[in-house]
Amino acid sequence: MERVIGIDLGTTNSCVAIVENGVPTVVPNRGGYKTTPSMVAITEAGKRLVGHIAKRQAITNAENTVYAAKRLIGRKWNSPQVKNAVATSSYRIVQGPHNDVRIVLREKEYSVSEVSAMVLQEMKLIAEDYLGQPVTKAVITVPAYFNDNQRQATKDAGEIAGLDVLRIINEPTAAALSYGFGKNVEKTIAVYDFGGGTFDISILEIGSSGVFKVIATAGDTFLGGEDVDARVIDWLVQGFKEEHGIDLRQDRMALQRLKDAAEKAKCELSSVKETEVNLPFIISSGRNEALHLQRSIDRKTLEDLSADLIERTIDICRQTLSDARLGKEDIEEAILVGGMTRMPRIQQAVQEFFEREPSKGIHPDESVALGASIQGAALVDDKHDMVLLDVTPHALGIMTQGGFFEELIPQNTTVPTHRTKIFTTSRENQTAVKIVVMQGESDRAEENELLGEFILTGLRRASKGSVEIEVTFEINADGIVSVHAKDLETAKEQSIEVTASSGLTRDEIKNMIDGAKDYMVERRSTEELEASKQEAERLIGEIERLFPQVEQIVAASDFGRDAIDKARTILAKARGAIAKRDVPAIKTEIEGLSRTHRMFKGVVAKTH
Amino acid sequence: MSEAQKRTPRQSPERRDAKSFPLSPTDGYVLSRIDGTMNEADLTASTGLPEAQVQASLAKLESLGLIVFDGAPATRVAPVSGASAVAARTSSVQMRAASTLTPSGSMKAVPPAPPSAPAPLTESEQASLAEDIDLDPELRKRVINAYRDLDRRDYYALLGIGAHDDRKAVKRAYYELAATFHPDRYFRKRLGSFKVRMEAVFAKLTLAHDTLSDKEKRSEYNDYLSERRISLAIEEHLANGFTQAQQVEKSVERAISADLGAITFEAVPTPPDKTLAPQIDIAARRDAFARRLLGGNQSPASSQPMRAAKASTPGESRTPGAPAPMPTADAMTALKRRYEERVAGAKASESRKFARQAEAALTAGDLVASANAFRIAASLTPEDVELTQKARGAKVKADLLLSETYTKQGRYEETHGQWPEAARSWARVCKVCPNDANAHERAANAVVKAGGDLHDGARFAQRACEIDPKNPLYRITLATCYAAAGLGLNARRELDTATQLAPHDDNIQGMIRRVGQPA
Repeated sequence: MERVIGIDLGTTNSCVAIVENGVPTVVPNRGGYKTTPSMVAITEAGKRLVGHIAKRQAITNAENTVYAAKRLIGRKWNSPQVKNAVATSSYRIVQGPHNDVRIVLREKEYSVSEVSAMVLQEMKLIAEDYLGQPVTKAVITVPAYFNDNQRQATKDAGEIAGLDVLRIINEPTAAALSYGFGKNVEKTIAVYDFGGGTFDISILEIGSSGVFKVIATAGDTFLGGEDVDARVIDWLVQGFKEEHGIDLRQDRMALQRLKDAAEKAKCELSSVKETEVNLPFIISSGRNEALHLQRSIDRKTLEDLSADLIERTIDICRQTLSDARLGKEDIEEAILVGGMTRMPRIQQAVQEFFEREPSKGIHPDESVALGASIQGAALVDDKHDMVLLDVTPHALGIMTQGGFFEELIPQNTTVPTHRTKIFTTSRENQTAVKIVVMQGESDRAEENELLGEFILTGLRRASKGSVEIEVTFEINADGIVSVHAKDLETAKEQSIEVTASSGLTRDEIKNMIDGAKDYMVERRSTEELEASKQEAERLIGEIERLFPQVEQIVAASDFGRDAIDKARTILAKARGAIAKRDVPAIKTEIEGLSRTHRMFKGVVAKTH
Repeated sequence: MSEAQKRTPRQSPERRDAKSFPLSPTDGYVLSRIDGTMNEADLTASTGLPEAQVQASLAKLESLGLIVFDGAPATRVAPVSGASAVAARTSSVQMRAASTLTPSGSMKAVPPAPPSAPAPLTESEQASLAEDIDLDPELRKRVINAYRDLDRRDYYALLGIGAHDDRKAVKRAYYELAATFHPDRYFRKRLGSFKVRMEAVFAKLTLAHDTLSDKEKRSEYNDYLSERRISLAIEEHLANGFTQAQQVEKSVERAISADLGAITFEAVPTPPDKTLAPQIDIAARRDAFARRLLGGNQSPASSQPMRAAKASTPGESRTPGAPAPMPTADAMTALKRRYEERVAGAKASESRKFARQAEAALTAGDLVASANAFRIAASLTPEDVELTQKARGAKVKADLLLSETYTKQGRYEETHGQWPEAARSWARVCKVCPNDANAHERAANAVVKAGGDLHDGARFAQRACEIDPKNPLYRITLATCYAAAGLGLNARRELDTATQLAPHDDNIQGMIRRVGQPA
């Protein structure tokens, strides 16, 4: 049987593993290291370098060395994250033709998927060297909080690297697989995954029968060790500026050296209380004289610099736990994954939050790749009794008239899953319907991630409203979204054209909201309507029940008759509002109904 | 009876709020004594209530799902009682669900296959068994059976667990089944038509798990199930009321004729002794039935008037030593008249008794029992106009109760997208409340959503429009039915009416646009 490799494609480091004789094992690279830097460089001679060798020459070839490409994968050019990366990266990032991101190396533009593919290819080679046979099948991990575009771009990268990507799985889930593999436990666990570029938290249940079920997941795809490094760099740059009046950021080579030094200092501070950043000849003073950067940094300083980042991860943990409808006491094990979890302050924060000491049972750098290899083996080998039930990290929905987001599949729904929705034409002889598919948690469409526009074309020419198309939105086990459409009358599959899955700016979306109302599907406010309607109907029922009694009691006085008349008017108005399905009006009437109801109850109570 | 008394009731672990049920104080008292250790005899002793009363309360509590019985399945005493029939049915539902578990509690993969022998395969199912795919025949059958039962079985039955199994059991059962039905188990295998089935089964199992493993959702779902049970119980009870009335009437007549017959038969040498034995049987049944309906408000000797009449007969008619005269025409007429008088008297007496029970039940808040007792009372004395009216009133109240439970079900089903079920529930509401426009509109809407019979849908919507001709929404729903049925002109007409009713309402106009302009 062909071997399936598991690849943890990390922001800073990558790792590859296989299952050998039933045991998941990390494959070391040629240098004997178990992880390989996710760095790619092109030399002056046009040679491609990947991994340690790329890292080693990064300082002298800073402009042509790519690191942390994962932070850019599947993102749009005008996203704030990309803007941030453009400002801080030593390599050149430019806008691509589809509003995507391109990286320029030696005058050649590469898509981010291509760059990531180079790293994946290296991991594939490492495995092939070790196994002595070609490898084509792989399971690749992504941060749990990756959206569809990021997943799709990662899968593309795998294909560019010549891999048959059996499955994209989530990093914390993979870590849980490696934790639970071979143990016959039933446990609810939390995986706190703080890596080089992303943060994820997942709550899982490890059940009997080898089932791993994710209950809830969340994270931040732009929060990682790189951000901590950036804080240290800022601190160093600021200090240097105060001392010498020179901004080191202006020099790409100095920046690359700072980056290395910051990362090194951060790592060292996990085991020592204080360390020295020593970068001699970092820059020229401009008076033909070189300046040195020499500064000591202690653990406390690092903790202060990163305190808000750590706090953010804990906030996300809190939210996720509540999404999972669980309490801290329900978590039986907290697992730490990712290089950042070596930082003592983070271990302490996790311990404080979950009120238990985090598990030391798994390797923070290797468990994700191990889990990926376990999943790979389970997929191709019938003997593996393991099923992974993962969830979608983001709600899936469509844009509706007025620029609202109508949720079709909620966050944390077990995948694979699908929903169908019926669309209809809104103009005479309309032959195309546009559906804008989005992912995110906001009510406002523009705040969510645009996945794509799907245009149903070639519709029958008919009067408006008479063509009904059933559209199925599907999220597969990779967390990747697909859309199918069917004409309900002819039962014909409808062709779908995907346009520019990453080709729209926020402004364009805004323009679409304002301009193309014809295209939009009307937002139904049924839920709100139902709730207010029920409340109003309940009050009407109560009032009607008391009506004869109250009438009898108060009819003797003019004042009483007046009150009765008023009550009748309110009832009639409320009924009218309900009939019109006018939510604001119903809400107004509910106030009147409540007053009347209270008054009626008071009258009856006084009399008895 | 002694066998039944060995049964031990315990309170249903789904702690339902008993206040929301139509219980009498006696029922509440009995309920409060139930601790899961005392059997029925113990309960009778500890409550100090008459045995019949305890029995009646227990039957009612069981039918409402407030208590369950451990031990032997019910061999119920009163076959005429609707409540007990329902009780037997509800407990059998639970037993069926539990029976799919292996008894040791160590679970094996339990297919959500029907407990009884599965129905024969349809042609297309047979065909899919022969598909050239990578699934073994055994699994194919499991998938087919599971898929077929998806909509018919409640979540407990789907997961093969009992109504009182905890979250852990829910999860275990789900995991077992997920390991069988999850698409990843057959990754990149050829699954043919089974792919869709397995995905549907997995999705429904996941829904069942997500509902039952969440406290809030489970309690909502349980409320829904219990509404379903209650409405079933009420319906059956009401339906049986008719039969009961007839039976009471007949048994009164038979009792009298048996008495009179006994006299006659002393003269005519064909003593059909057998008539007496079943007679007692009927009387006993009727007694039991009366006690049950009564909720124990009267002692078991409730048929006192009848017995008294019977006891007095021999003394009156049998003059010791005197030879029995041959029946002459006059004597026959007299006998007939006497018979009729006696029947009328006995019926009136029974009627009064049932009327008293009905009033008592009404006071106790048991609308269903009250409606049934009134019905029996009224049918015994059809000439009593007041009683007939009261019976009608009681029936209306019971029906309202029924419509309430169905309304609750309908709402739950609507919000959970269970349109075929919602269509059924709203149809029941409509049957009971033929003048509820909203219910008719909901029914029509659900029928359309469920893809049901559009004639039914249109009928409901038409009725809604009849009741409230001024509501544009009902017109739109009716138009939707017409449009779905391809009756473009009719749809157009209704939409025009809706437009006239609300010409300036954007919402209405929006909906009208959505329904469209069928050619």
